[in-house]
Amino acid sequence: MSEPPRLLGDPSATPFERDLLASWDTEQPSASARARALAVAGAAAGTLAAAAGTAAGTAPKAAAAGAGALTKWAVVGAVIASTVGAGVVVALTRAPQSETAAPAKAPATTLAVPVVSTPIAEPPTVSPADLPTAPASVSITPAPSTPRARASAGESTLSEEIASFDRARAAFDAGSADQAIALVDAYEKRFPSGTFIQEAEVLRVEALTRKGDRDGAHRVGQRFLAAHPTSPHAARIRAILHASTP
Amino acid sequence: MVDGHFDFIWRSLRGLGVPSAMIDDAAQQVFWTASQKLDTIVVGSERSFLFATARGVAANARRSRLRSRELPDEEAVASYADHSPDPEQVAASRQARRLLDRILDGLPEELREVFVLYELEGQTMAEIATLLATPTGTIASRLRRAREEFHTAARRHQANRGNET
Repeated sequence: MSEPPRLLGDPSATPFERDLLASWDTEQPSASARARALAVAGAAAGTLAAAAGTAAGTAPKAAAAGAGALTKWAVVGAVIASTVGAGVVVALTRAPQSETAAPAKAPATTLAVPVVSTPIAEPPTVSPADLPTAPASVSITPAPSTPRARASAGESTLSEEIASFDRARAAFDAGSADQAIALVDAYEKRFPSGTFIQEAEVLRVEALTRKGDRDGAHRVGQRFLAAHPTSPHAARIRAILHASTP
Repeated sequence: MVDGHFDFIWRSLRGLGVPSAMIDDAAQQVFWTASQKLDTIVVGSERSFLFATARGVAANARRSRLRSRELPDEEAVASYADHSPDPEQVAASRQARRLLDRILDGLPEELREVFVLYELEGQTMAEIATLLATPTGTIASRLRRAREEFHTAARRHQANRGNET
């Protein structure tokens, strides 16, 4: 497969187009954004040592900072996450209740997997997530609907998982709260320890809120907050519940 | 994991439409999610995992943005023309950056991600194919279509700008 030259360096691009593409160079994360991600990832996983190990492997200078500095960042990061983060999320998700119609432009599903309308009776699959104590040597039975047959076992399970969750999200984006909830049920049944289990619960709360089931939304939301008080999604859940409280 | 992939994931989130006000939280969320699943991420596929997570997070962020404000494209372009006639380079770059966002927002998701990864992030076809678990031929055809749409949109915006001045 030949690689076409990048547009930015291609004579066929107009100067205007080159200006547009070159403006991308201004996108760089700040050091504090990186520190926060490092801190929260480490703190959330309870694997500060692992994080330090990774940092040492890829950036020798980071190792010099030592575990003490990492621990400090973890605390700072967690505090920032629960204050600044909450504020931003609250500000941005304040209006779900007033939304009555589907978004004007629902984001397309990001996977090239057809969105099915009946998610029932998905074939049983053994996923590594089902067997947390033996993730390395699990034998996987690929589902007949495996979207990409050549993917390795782990990738294909993840692909299926993403596709399954994407279907729920797409249903919600298309304005169908009931179907979104049914698809969240299907996702959680199939991937009980799934990667997006928390996102699925957030989606459930949003969908319940949208269909006017305030009690249901509060029940699920409170259960989430009790189980995952430090999750970054906790702020979002609180915002949704807050917005739906009369 | 954070150190090796943070910049790429952060910029990918921007490219996938996460607004700057939400970007740091979104990046944090990606790495937090990944940290919860460290033991299930296949060694060597961390980047794919992170990118897949980033797509989900970006979709959420776009949904929030749609809720919080719906700004018609023409209006946005007009306001951009009103507010920044300044020929200074910084202002021009900022204008261009905003306009690039508008054009990316107009691309279908599957074209947008390929365009961002190839044209802006400089990934190779093979890398993108791995990242998206999609055949290289499909990536190439998406890139072609994305470029066509980019050219069309750029021409349209340039014409609009000409009319404004």
